[in-house]
Amino acid sequence: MISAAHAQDGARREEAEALPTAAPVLTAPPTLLEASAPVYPPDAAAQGLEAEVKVQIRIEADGTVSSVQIVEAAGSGFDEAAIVAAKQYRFKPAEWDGAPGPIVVATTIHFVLEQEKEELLAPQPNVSDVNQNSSGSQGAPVTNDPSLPLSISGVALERGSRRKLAGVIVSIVELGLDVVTDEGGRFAFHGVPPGSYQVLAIDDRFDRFRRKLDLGENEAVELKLYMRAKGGNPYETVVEGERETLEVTRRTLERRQMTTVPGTFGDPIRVIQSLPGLARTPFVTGFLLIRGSNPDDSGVFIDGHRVPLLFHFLGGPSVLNAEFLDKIDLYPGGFPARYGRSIGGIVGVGTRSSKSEGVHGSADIDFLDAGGYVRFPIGKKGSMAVAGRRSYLDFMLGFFLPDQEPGQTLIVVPVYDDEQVRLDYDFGRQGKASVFYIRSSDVLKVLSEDAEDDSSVALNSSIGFQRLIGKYERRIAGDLRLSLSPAIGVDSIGFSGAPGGDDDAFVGLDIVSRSLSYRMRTFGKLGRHLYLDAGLDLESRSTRWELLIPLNDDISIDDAIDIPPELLIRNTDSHMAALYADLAVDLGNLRLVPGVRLDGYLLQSQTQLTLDPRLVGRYKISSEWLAKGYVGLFHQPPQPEALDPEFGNPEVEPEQAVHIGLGGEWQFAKNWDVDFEGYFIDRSNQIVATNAATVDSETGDIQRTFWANTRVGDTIGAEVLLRRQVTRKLFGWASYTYSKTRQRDTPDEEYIPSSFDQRHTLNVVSSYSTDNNWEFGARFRLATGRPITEVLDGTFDADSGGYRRLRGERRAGRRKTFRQLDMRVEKTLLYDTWRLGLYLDIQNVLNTVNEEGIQYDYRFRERSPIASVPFVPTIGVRGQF
Amino acid sequence: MRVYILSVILISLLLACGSFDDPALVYDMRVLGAIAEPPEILVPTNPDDIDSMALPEIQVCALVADPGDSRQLSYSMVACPKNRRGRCDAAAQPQVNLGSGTVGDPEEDDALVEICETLGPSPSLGEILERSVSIDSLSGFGAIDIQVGIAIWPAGSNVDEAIYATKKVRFGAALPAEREPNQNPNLENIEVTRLDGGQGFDLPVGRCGSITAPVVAPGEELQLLPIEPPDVREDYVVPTLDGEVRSFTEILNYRFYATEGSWGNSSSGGARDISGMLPPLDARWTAPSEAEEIGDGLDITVYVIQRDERGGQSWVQSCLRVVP
Repeated sequence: MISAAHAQDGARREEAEALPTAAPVLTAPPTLLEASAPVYPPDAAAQGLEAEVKVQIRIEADGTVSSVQIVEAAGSGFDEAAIVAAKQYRFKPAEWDGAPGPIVVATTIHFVLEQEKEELLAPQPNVSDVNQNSSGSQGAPVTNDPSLPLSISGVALERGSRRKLAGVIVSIVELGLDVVTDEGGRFAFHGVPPGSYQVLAIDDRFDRFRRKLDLGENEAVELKLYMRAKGGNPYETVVEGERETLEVTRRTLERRQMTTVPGTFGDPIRVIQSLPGLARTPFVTGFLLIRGSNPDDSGVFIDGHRVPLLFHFLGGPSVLNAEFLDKIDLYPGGFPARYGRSIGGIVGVGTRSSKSEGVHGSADIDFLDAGGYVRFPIGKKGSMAVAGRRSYLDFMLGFFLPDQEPGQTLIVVPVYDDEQVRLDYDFGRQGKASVFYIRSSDVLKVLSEDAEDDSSVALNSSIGFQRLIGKYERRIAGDLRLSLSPAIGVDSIGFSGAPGGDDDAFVGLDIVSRSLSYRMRTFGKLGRHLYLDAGLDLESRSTRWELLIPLNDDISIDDAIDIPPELLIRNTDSHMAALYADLAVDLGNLRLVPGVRLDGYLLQSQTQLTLDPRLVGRYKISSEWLAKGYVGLFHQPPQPEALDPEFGNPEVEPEQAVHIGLGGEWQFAKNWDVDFEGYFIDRSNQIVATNAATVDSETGDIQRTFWANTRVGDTIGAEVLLRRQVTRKLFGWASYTYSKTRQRDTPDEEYIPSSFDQRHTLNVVSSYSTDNNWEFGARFRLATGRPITEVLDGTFDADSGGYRRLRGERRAGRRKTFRQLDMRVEKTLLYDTWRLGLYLDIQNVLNTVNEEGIQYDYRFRERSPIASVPFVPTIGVRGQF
Repeated sequence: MRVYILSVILISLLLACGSFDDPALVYDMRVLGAIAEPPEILVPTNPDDIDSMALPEIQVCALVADPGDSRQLSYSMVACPKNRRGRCDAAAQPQVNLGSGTVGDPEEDDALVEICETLGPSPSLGEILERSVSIDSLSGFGAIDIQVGIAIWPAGSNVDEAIYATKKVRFGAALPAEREPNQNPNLENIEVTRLDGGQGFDLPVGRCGSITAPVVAPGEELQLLPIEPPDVREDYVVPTLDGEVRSFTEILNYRFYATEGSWGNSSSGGARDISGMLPPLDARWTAPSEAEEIGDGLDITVYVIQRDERGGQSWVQSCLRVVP
């Protein structure tokens, strides 16, 4: 029996669209403050009809609704009722760059017939005759007058995370009273007469929450309404406001996309390797191979400051705890002027503020490592977050490894750990400040070795870095913001070898690089059609190399000359300063972004200057179509070792590349879009190792040249990204990249494919969530093999006793095509104050043998493939509170 | 910072263990060593002053094993400028044919099989030296190396079945003036210790069948220690890039081969370690123990190759008999 007709809305922001003209940055979405339940069309109620009406509403700067447009009509009187109801909404207005401003949002108003059992509604008011805004259970109107005593109050919380939910409509069904939760998720009813009631909480993103309560005379009841998200893990979706587009191609991942992709073990940053523009990395090295570039040509930045690596060694996870991750921006080419000193692509990682309502955290554990994260407030304006992770493969294997027999080889495993701390403080109008510290360490640990074998070699290798990054940001004038960010850091690489059982290394390499950097950035609107992003980018780096080689006075090198051993400790200093500016100009549907970057280098006492002009254009053809293009010049300084006065060449110049791209974007259906781009990269002045020598005709002195700017190369390619936007149940993408990269080291050589040339790369990623918190995902990868130089045979070298490879034509062959299917299943168990995720992540489900390399016998006649990752299932547990 | 270079190095090291044949066990046709006599000739400091017609003859000999087959072997030797391939098969480069021919089965022929040819003075040798100087990054400073490419194949079969070896011949610059040409090293003998007990012995020199092979038991472990004559490690001097001179003493290293059994370590010697100690010279070998393999008795050829770091070389071939 229909005992109550209840209509409710879902005035949630599903999608925010910036108004035309130069779009400012959305700093706060609108929040619903007041909503009146729409009047249920009587005829529809009589017929038992329900409906959803999708509307688009314009919210003015004062929070009122000025216009309502039906997007998807429902008929039967629902549309008219929805318009009337929507016009009565009142919002806390959206904030653009911190100031209230108008916005257009889409929302859905639901008309649902509430079927209630009679016994649940006692004492039973005659609700069928009740006007929802004016009726009370005892026949007298109940108006929720704040001057009356508090009766029912509480807070709406997200189940599992305890996040406070603003804008939730809380109703006392029997009384027809509605209130909307405030920014702290709180609600209150005053003057409610005693009786039994049903409290109903409604929000479009969450399942409806019902709770019975008995209210006594002069009693006040406090409630906590834990609301369960509909399908998937919407809490993990970061809804970002519109950001200024100063580049043609930036691929930004949302958190849900980042944490549930199969084959990544929930590691967000690994997901970028499935995006177009990135070639598949050989083995599991985690190199960033962007559009045919060498790994060193692409830059990785955390909060705007360069770091040496993004992933732990030998296939480990990313160096940043997933909870600390705010966003990842991948710029495969044509990146904005604020990024420089790289000629490949850019990966920009943004860390998340530690701002927290109460104490929250997470723990993550699987076969390889365990990590934790916690954030908490400090006073009213401060907050702090701490995270850490450590692998324990060395502990685990230690229990399972049998004792080594004489003659057995070493067993070496990677051991990694990372730690992060972030402090935030909000000065209010005076801005915000933060300090972020990250440390990452990778060590190859020798688990087992043949102690009886004096000739065995123990390997001790390490890679690590630390950064301390400060940031202060505030509004300066109008819509302009100022950001100041100093950073200090240390990078280190170590490698040493020692005879088995001997602690004294006989060969080693230690590189320690200390860096000091500072970024000042001014960005924001200059006018209605102008947007500026300009600043200063300083970086100093001092690198010390210590090479330990057999310093033996009884041996000379093969060329029958001697290199004095005192040259084996080297220092190189680099000081770099840059001024940059991007200015976005809106000319109707066309946005032009001219940019320029001026870099000055002081490299080993040599000064150099580079000027990088760039131009980006985006033209909105229609609401579905957008055309885009760019051209720009990019430079990067030589690597420190190439500048060494003895072993390098201080006169080598910065490397250079021209990026040209043309493409478009097409949104062909709701939640579906295609992004396509053709590009050409022309690289010149590339630094390459040489063995050249010149003889001074007068003195006869011989000067060796170890590095020279003689390499040139280019990449031509195309990328297509077909994407299903993140929705509650389904997301995914298919990306295809064609890339042809060639190079030649000297003008008299023929072009050959580059080492990392990968012609075809296909990635298909999809994930589906059910209503009961199961999530299923799959990822398929197909990639052309890398170029190789075939080894045809061997020649015995009678002077060394070993064999030399007889190589075929240089890089004329290729490895076999790579194919791999990964799958993932995750179940999330929701509790009121925390949640638990259990996942099974299977790499290489089909156990495809993918050849990553070839191993040869001592005379290069017999060969066996070195296979990539086999079938590897991993079970993990992740808890969040 | 070139993180990826280190990654590649480490991955290569981690993967550098396979399940292929032990190179110290000789099962089929192999070149195990090659000697140039003399190994080094001193020439004028200025390469333009070298008179190729006045150079002395250099004999190049290869040590060949072919225990898997009974057959004659054909060979050829060609000298050319040094290259990475170690072969003299590029038509564009100057070459000198040292010679070719056919020899008997290395294990069964009545006489000791030697594959030797001579590199004599010739205008072509001058061309090779000239080309070698032009491609040398130091324009011949210190020394000019050329290579002798050696190809060996079963007599009567196609040359496609050939195995290849390369031997460096050094023309050292007479700089500094006191520089002396390198000499090939030599061995006094190989001292053998029975690690399971019993009387040790000196390894006899010669082929199986031509000498009385010491008898060892199945599975017995032996220690082979090369005994060097006094002063076999020569002192020598080299110029430095800054015009100075440095003095060195030769290091010697050893490679051990056998046709059966297994090696604990099959190479020894080499440079001093970081503490200044010379590494041990001995090697350990274990006789085969499978009765089916040994039968009534099994002759095993043992080779020890001695090398210095300047291209000097010598070898010893011997025989052990495993008797059940």
